[in-house]
Amino acid sequence: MQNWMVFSMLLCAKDICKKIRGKTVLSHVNLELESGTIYGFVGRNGSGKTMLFRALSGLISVSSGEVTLDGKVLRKDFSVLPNLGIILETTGLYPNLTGIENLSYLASIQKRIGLEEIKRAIRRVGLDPEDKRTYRKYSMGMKQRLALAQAVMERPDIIMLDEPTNGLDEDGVDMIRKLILAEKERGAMILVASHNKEDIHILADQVYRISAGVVSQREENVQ
Amino acid sequence: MYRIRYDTLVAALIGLLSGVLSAMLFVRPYTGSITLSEMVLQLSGSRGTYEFNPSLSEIMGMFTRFIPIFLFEFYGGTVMYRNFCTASIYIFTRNPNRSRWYFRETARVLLLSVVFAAVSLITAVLLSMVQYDVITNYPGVLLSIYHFVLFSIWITTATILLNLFSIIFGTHVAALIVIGLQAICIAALSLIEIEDQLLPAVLLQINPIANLILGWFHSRIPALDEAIFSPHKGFSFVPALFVVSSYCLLTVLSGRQFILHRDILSSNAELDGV
Amino acid sequence: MVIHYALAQTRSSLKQLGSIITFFVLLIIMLQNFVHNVLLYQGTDVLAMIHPMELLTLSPNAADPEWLSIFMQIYPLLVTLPSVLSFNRERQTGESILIAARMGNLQYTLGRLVSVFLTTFVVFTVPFLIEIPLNCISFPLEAQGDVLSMDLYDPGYVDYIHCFLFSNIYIFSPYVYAVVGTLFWGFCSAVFAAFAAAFVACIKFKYTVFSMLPAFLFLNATVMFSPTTRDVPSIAWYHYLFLFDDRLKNPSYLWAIPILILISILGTVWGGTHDCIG
Repeated sequence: MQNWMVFSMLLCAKDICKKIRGKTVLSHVNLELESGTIYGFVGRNGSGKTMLFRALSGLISVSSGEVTLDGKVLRKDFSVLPNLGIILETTGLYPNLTGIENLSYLASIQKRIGLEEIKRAIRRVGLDPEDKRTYRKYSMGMKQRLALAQAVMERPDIIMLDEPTNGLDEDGVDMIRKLILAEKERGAMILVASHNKEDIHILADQVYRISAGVVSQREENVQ
Repeated sequence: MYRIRYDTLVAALIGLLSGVLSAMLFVRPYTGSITLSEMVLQLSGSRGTYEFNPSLSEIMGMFTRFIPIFLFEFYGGTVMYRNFCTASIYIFTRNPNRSRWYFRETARVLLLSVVFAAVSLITAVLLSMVQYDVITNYPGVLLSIYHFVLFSIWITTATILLNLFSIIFGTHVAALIVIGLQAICIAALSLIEIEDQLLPAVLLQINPIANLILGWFHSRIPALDEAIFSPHKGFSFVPALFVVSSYCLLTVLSGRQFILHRDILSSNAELDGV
Repeated sequence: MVIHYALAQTRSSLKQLGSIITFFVLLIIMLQNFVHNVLLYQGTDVLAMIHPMELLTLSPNAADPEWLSIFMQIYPLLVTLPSVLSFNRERQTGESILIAARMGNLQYTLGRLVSVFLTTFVVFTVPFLIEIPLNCISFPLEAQGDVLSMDLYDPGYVDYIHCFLFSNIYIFSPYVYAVVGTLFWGFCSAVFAAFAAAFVACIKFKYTVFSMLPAFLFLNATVMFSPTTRDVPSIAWYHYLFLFDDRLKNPSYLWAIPILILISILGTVWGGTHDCIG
């Protein structure tokens, strides 16, 4: 059986700023994030949580500063973080494909896992891998579950989850929390952005507050 | 793999349509039989044994030759762009080396363009052989190769450009820009009538569409030069290949820089068009 | 409610970037033609001067052929730009559901069709209507010359005139002919845009470029399959839409316009009666 445990990693944001069309969306952000820890990011809508995840993942460039992973500079040494699982905002999947077809297509990009792992990931989030319905017919909760499945199916080293419990029922929220904690046990570095205080309180080891693109002091989360 | 097979099939189908239209509308054997060389010259702008001259009707005729090519460009213009639409974040987080991703997509566009150009030319030739008495000649074979190579490269260039502009503006405006640019190049063919002036001559030489009109070529191969039967217009295969390839290379390299620095801000780029 | 929505949507569409870009592209083409004529004919004796209405952009014989050819080539794409973009966008964002929930899907799609028609009519007519008084001010109204240098007393001139669409109006007054012809141009452009919009109502296109294909293919098909010999009536769109076009025409081909209108309405109704799932 393959060893899915994550080796220790250090993700650093060094004084990163980002301006879009003259508006500052991230301002002098400094972070040091380690494997095997869940980091919670709290803030109001529009505070910059999603932008921060985009910048840390490499999806956007930063106007100044740099993001490094184990000393290697993002957007220089690599375009995006290697082995990353992410959910952002309302990113959708292909409406004409079923759940398993969507995930199979995404898995075929890096070819790290096979069909069995995909099915396992779908079951982990409470969906049926044999479901013949296309993505278009999924409810919001089902779409969110499938998004989470695609984020964790390849056993990523770093997982970024933006509002992971959006649209989920009580059982779904419970399931997601257990899944996140299991990924932490595996050693993954997990970043969770949520305006739901209960999620952060239950999950996060450390909490950062974001307001107007400024990340303020770190708090140890008493669970 | 499924996606590339599907795209190749669509490219071939559009090529088939293009070939049929080309054979029906542009191949005119005024004497009942036609040589392959004359046929290829007609496919690239000539009318009968007259080389292309830039009157309004012939410019519109040249434009109509490009309509099937534009149809292919519309489809091919979504090959790279579609990755910026649905599930863009999931795709790009799984491609740590974006440069490699871009060159792979560029190669895919090139493959589709080659398939389209090949199927189009072969269909036009075969259909003409069925309809008319087509006399295969050595200059015709050479001209077919020139036609295929030059058009493949140009179609690849325009299609990549359409993809890149689509990422910024959305597909409709990108189509308007790319077709508009080609329309300007077609209209600018009228510069052929301005003689002995440096700037028009230079503009004509660097006009990519002008370098596709085989009827304006001359060749050091006597049989080929004779088959083109037009006065020397200052174009030939190697310089034309250089011009068209330069545009292709410039587009590909500029595109790489653009893609590398492109922020993935939106999950569905089509919504953010003009 | 449909009319109210259509008018509100038209006002909104006219402020959209697609409409503004299209308007300014047409305005630039018009101004280029106007300035070209002013520079070309300045100092020309009034006896040798061309009639001001024959110098309009929509008069192909007088226009700069390079600019005219560019315009003719991009017209099939340009005509759908103001309308298709916003309609498709509403579909994709789901805004159409919000509107349909307030007035019904059928009313929404019909209102959309009307607003597409009105928006395109305004965008495609105003720049060329502006040119008419500009020409009247800049060029002598006494000028009677013909751009093809035909003698007014030549019998061939009568045949030339009768090739024009609305030739009777031209005989009555070239100025009225220019206005009517420009309005007809705008009307037909609006019909083509509505035709494209009807397809969008029926079929969900992922990429907006595909939604303008029906109008693009229709217009270019009329050019591709148009007879090349002058003694056979043309079917190319520009021979019917441009002013002072002396190519032989068959007025019964204009039935294509009401047929397109009918197809647009039927297609829109069909699209509007389907479930509004989004």
